[in-house]
Amino acid sequence: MSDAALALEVRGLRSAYGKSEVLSGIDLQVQHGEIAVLLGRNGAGKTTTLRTIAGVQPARGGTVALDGADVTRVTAYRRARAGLALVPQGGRAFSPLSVEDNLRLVRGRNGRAGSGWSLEQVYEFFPKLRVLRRSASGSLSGGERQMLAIGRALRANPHVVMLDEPSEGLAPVIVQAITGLLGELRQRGIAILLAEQNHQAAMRVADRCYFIEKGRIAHCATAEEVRDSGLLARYLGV
Amino acid sequence: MSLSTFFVLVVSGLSGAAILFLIGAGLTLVFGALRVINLAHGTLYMLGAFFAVSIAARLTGPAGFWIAMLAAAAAVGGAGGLIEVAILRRLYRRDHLMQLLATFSLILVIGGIVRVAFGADYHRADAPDYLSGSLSIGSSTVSAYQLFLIGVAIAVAITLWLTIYRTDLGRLIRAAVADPELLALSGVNVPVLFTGVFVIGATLAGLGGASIAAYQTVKLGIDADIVVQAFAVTIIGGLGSLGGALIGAVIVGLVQSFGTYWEPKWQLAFIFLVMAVVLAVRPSGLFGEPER
Amino acid sequence: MTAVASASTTRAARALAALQTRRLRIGLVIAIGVGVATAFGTVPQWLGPADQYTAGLVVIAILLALSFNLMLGTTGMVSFGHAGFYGVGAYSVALIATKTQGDAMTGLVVAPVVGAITGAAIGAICLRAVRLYFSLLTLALAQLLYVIAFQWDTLTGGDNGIHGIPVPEFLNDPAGSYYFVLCVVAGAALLLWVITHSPFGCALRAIRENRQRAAFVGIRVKVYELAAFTVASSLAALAGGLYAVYVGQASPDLMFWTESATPVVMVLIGGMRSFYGPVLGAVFYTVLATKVRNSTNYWDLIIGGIVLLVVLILPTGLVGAPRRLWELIEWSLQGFRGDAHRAPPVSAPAHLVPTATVTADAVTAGAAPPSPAVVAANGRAAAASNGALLEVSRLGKRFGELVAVHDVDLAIREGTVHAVIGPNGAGKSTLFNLVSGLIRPDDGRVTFAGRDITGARAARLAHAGLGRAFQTTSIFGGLSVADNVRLAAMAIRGDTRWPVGFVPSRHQERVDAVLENVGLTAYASTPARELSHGDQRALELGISLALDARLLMLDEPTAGMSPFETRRTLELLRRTIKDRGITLLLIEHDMEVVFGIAETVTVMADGTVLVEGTPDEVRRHPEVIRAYLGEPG
Repeated sequence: MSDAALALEVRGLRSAYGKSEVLSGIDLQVQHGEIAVLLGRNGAGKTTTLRTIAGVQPARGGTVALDGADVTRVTAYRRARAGLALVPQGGRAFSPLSVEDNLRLVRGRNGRAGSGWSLEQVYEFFPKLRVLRRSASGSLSGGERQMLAIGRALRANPHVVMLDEPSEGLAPVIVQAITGLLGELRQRGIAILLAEQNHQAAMRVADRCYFIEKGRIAHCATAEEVRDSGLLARYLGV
Repeated sequence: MSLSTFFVLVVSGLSGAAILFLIGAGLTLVFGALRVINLAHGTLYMLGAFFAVSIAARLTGPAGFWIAMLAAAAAVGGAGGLIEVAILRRLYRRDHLMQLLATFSLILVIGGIVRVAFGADYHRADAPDYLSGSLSIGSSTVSAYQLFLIGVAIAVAITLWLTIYRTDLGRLIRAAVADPELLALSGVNVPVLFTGVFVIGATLAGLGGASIAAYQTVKLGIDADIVVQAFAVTIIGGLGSLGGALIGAVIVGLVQSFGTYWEPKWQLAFIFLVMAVVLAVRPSGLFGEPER
Repeated sequence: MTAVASASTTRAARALAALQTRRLRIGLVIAIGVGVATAFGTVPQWLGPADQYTAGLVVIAILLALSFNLMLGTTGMVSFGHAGFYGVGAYSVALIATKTQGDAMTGLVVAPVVGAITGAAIGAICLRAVRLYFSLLTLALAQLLYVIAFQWDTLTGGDNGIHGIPVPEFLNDPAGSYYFVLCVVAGAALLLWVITHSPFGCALRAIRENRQRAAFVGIRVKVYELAAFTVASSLAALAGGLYAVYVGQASPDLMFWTESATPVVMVLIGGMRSFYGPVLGAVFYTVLATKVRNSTNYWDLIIGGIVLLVVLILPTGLVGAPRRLWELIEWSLQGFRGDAHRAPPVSAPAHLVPTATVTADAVTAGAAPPSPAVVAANGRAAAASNGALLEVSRLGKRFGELVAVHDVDLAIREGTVHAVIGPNGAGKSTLFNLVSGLIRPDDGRVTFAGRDITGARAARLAHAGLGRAFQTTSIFGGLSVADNVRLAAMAIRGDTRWPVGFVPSRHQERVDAVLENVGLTAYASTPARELSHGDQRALELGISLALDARLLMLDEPTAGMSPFETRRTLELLRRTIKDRGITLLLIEHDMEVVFGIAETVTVMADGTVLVEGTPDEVRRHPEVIRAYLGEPG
């Protein structure tokens, strides 16, 4: 892809809960067709970073730019429509609604449904969901809900997809399937920011790694540099 | 008690239930989606009644009654939208205490506006002739207006059910009830949706008030009378459940009707008795979400 | 931030810091206190008769506001029916003085008693329902009281009420009646002050901060709430009785539901988090009402508007106004780019610096089984002879169509460490919730120390010796770190039942010991919500330790900790087991912790037990590998 605008550029992002500052200046960048991984333990600030970039957690300073356009002052739902998707932790879904209703709900550009992937395209990518289309999403297994969540994100034609610990609590077999899917999305030019504790799964697909500790980016390196270094041990305590 | 008296009491009870359903449904809908208990819901009902009276007074002609009723409901809906945008929106991130206090203050504010605008007099609108009559059942009579109220409630119930379960808007509302943050992440304009839900709730309350403007006295303080019953309806039925609001309304309406027949002074006590019984068995109401 | 702005902020910050020095603050408080007391005490001297009369009403209003704040500010209960009890008190005096042999003074003694009885009855009903409905029910029940007063006209005089209540001679003199009211209210206010600052008051504040956790440290929440409700109603009735004596009448409108706005408004305006806020609010409101209420049609609008403004802009009330004003000034000077307040870094006590490697052998080699003396010293029933302290058999739970847990069997021996592992959705947390009383099981039994505890509630379990810490940090945010721990230590010993007396100092040693154990001594007086994530997890553990439990259930105790903090926690847990013979049951994802401390491991998957055994057995079990660990690499 061209190296024109970065898909996602975050500079000096700060966030706080009341008086305690949780993010003290996050800088990161993700290019189109790249998978960047945000690695760190629980409590380091991964979830807060993703939520602040997505706009559901208010920022106290810094900027977020999507495809070169500043979205720092844009509210969360508009960022989602503009192409910045977040798949939050825990495989959340609208439990009483069916799988298909879950997918239908998503609003993309101009507030219309279906400006991104069509239902058909999502079902092709996730054949299991086609089988489950009429089932209440609350009765799905963890892996199926995660796929549904990614499917929902794709419905809005995202340029950037952020995922918060998609592997949490899932059997390694399923985790492999998901990381494989992420690789395919990368092929299609989507920029991916993946927050993980599970470094094994993440390193399999990472292009670039950001290590976060106590609310700031402690280190940034390419995946190759990370693989042979002691960085993983240092920041994840492995 | 003769069969005809029984029948008349049932109809009377159901017509009371009709109004209680309109108010209770709005209250429960707002709670389900916004997680706010609007204490001022009864005052919105009163506002609807006053609006209906004053609009009807300015209109002549056969359609006046209907226009007044619908316009009043819409006006209250509009007021609801104003309230949500100006006040409630700022409180979603705050704790429940502050939300309760804010809606409680609205009781005073809206009541105060009504007092200033309409004074402490009694009012009543005129019902069209075809609704003012009565039907004879055996040795007793049933008021045609009561049947009208029941009809309105049935129509509203069906419309609500179809909207919630068969339309896109309904899906959005159900999603908002389940996880509003996730809905925002799905690109849905949740703030506007919340306003919409509150407007719907307020319109229902306003419709309830407007419906009785031609049937009962409209004066300051009718919000006090109705709000206690409305709370009883949602407590018995369970907050957050439309079906619960329907069943709760029927229960309260019938209890009131039969209670008034036996001992008019203590009808409020009868409702409380029922409420205490229900809560003793199911602390979260018949269809409410349980807590330990 | 420009240089000028930063300079003035520093100067101003220094001034504020100076203001906050203890000495100046105490001096200020004493000065204000003396001033206020003098002002109230000499009213007949410096106020004309009409204003003097108002002053009496102000004093009565103060009692009403203080009694209401016991519920709202201290315990977090939002009641919209307080005026009902005010009316009950007024009618008690009125009825006794006019319809019986007794006089107004007798009535005044009876009023709080009647208030307490009514309060207990109504409170019991309102608390029976889930918390959500509490406020609605108080409003409804108070309105019921109004209707009774209105309808039962043979007794209560109906709409008109009762007038011309006869009072003793000395109360006919305006100064005399003022001083009488002042004395009674001062006494009642003192009582409230004592209660609020007692261990019982601590427990109430804990309930306000975190209702669920309060139950888990052994506080029977609904009992305490009912007690607060009863005391508050009783004193409101006393205030109403004073009103009847002072004004000479009682009428139903005292109890109309919108009258219940009065105590709410007074407390809100004055500031509900401070003991003295309601006093300020009562003065403000009563003076305003006396001057304005009857001369305008706009009263409802004015009061409603004030409440709305306070809620939106000044939620801490007048008492909190100076601080809020300061915050606004600070905020506008610094804009969005001020220096944020950061929690100071954690320091570990020297003796807990962890050793480099951790192995299961080290644990089993080093830990001696708890001696019988240690176990018996707890003073509770000994474990069953087969050694199983906690036994779970065929436990099951469904949520609608979803089967969360089914056919789970578990046996935990006293003095052991037992870990439960498994992927998310395996049912581990549900199992914990079923055992620790958060939810009720559909099938199966849970036995603890030989007694069936299936479905027992959290407080009862805490007192039986079963303690629990939470995965999502569940602490008392508004209380200081030391108070969090102290609260748990007091509650578990039943000391929070005492509404009199100061917090016993014998708990201080215990609190200090626990704080040192978890490394939070430096933060003893910091509000818990300001701690960093890792420190809050440590506090979470500290609260559980203060419970002196026999079996401690820990839900992901090392979630969010650095490797250093994890090892420190591991050391702490090992010492705790060794020193006190505590049994540990934990859910964990960190395999280092599991293999470093657990003697038995239960693997759960799909809601039931897959495999159970020693850590090594489990690690090598083919089914576990397939379901949980997946392909290698």
